[in-house]
Amino acid sequence: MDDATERYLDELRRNLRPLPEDERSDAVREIESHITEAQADGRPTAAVLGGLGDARTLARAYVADYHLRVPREGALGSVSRFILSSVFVSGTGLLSLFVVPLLGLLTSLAGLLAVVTPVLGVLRTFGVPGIVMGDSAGWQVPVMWSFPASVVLAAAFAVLAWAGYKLLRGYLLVVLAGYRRLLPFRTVP
Amino acid sequence: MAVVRAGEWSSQIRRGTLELCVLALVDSKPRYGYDLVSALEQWEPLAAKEGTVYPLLRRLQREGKVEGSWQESVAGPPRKYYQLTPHGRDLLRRMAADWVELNEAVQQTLPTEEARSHG
Repeated sequence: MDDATERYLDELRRNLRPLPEDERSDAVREIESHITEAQADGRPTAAVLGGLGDARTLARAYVADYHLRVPREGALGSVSRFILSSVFVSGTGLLSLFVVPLLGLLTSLAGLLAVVTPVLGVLRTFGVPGIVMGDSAGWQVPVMWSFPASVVLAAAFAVLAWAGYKLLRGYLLVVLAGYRRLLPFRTVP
Repeated sequence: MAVVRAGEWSSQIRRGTLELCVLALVDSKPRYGYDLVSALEQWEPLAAKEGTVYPLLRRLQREGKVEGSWQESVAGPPRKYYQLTPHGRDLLRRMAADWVELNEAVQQTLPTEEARSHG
């Protein structure tokens, strides 16, 4: 396969990402077949690729069509599907009510502290009063160690913020995937 | 008054009729994409961008109007052949009847050569 064709098919494959893998590779294979066929017919590669149009535009035509698919009428047809859907929607809805604000708050608070802590450390080093670094028993971090200690603390907050963000992201993805599964689309026969 | 652009109107008409033509061509014999594109090229007004034919074929397949199957070819790449499903054949028959009916009616609304030359 020549470079231009390979680039074209790569670009197409990349932009067909929203499609399920089997449809995606089927479409790419068909376009590849078209190009090879046209080349064998004596058409110059540039003309063949020009006829197909921009790879991204072609991919968009496939993808736009995919999203236009209507849910099958039987999506909620059976009793078990209906119950399953109800349980899923109410269950995740209730769970999200706690999980999302909690993780969101934790993440943003930890992120804020990760930024603020080193600043406080610097201020304490230069003797700004009112910044306490120590435990409840009265032990205090020596003033000269304020900045290093604050950096360690900030790193811990950053890790916490990162973990919170990852968790929240993972949670949202799982729930969204669940909703998507609830909408069964007609599959390619 | 709105400016009516013949070009835009034409491309809309073509888009709608392309589906009918593709179904009709696939009805005459099983065809693969390149074959279909070449067949459409015989008629200048129907010559469709390949970029519209392939996504259309995918949609027709998804809607159960055509079915596609990959077949090895003697020389060259494997080809995906399309043929009508019973549902597609039924649909084609009704679409073709609609088309003829519509076409006849439209024809009658158009001014005749004679009327135009006098007007």
